[in-house]
Amino acid sequence: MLQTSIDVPDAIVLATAETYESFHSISQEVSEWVERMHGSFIHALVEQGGEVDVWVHVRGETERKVSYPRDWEKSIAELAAGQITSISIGAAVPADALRGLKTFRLWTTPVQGAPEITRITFFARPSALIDELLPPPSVWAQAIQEGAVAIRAVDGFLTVGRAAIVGTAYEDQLMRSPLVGVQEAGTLVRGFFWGSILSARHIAALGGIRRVKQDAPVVRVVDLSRPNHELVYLELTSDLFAVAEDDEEQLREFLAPVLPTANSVRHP
Amino acid sequence: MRGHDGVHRYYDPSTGQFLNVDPLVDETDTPYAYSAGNPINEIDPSGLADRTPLHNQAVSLTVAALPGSYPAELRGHISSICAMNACNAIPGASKKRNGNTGYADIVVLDYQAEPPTAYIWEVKKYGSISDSAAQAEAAWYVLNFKQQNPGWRAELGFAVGNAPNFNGLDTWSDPTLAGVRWYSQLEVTRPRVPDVDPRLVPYLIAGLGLAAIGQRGAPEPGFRSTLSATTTTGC
Repeated sequence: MLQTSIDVPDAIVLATAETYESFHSISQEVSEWVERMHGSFIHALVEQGGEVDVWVHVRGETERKVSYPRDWEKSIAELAAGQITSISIGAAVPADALRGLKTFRLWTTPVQGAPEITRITFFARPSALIDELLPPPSVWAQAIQEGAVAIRAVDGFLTVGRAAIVGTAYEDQLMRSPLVGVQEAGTLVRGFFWGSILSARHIAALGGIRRVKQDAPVVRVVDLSRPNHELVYLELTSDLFAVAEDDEEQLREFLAPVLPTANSVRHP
Repeated sequence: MRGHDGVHRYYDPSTGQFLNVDPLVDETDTPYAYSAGNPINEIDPSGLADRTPLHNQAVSLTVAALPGSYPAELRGHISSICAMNACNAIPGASKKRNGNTGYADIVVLDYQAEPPTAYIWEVKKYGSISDSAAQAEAAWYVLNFKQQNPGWRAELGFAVGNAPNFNGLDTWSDPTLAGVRWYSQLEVTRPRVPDVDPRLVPYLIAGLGLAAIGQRGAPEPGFRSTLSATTTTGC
């Protein structure tokens, strides 16, 4: 059984989308998305007196810290121009900053061990959402949908649980290498989550977009398709923090054709 | 993986040493050593070189705090803590196996979990590196450990209890940044030794002490030493 409860020690709320597009080819869209995330999440923390910590990797250089807010616009321009290969933003309300903690993090980076794959991810501890230091789950869901469209994602998810930074809980359960999981993400999903982004091959394997919209055992289906890029977002329940085992089990059954098994072979 | 000599050593935080010889002594030339043997240089602007005495002390403090922070599933299990050089002995926790240098800072091996599980940490100077880069380094070891140890699970290390203000060093975990342990030096709160008169610095660096001043010529007009013998030693 997957752990989606906020009782899991060290649990985080995490949204991720992954793409096989080269970072250079999507840099403009990523920069626009990061700007929107800045407006929705980071700026809200700044207004509460929060501190922001921005690091960038510029092609061919070592990671460097950006002066915020002074050089923020410049960094976004560099990101749009494809000069920045990854950006790491952390923000902390004063109470967290005093303890050396971050309230919220946003990264766009190559996947560790699979540099040809780019990931956008943002996360925080559940209490930061519950205490309204951060926007509610509906805003997180909207943000990951927009991010998935921006990067032409092959997969994505929004979940509560332990990490999912290296491997997902489902991959851990199967003893499946997260590297294989990432490389096959366009064909097989990496688990079943509260929010799921499915792309063309997943949708086809599930019987097409019409069947997904009709039969998926979820409370919300959003068609995010664009020309030459079929994409859909599924939301399991109306409350991110209340997922019954039955809900999970029904989603698991529905996604069975695209869920890896212990015997899954790597797609060519 | 099970039964590997390198994982059956015991670390004594009070002495900073392992209690039996590092099986890789031939490779590392550092029998019993806890630190990477990287000696005196504490200047590390990038934070990436991270094998300084401060870093090693931060690892030591984290190791000492670890057992008290074990999650329920780990308590009571036969497990071992490996740190620094000892991690070299663990396939996947050492970059040596991939033709590079370096190794994870701390690995906890839980032999009785089902499946047996490794928890891996990198210890980093706070503010010297981004969150994502710090965690990516720990994630690199997690991925490699999984690949090189079939049948084992590996996770980014759990949050370890803070060890604040120990000998001027603060170490802590951010629960939302698994696998990373931060450290930083505290502001000096004890009474400060008076600043050294800059005119004395060349003599002190040369190890000549106050007694040698006369041999180098008389101090400049208006010079008045504020140093005592003890502060000179302290420099």
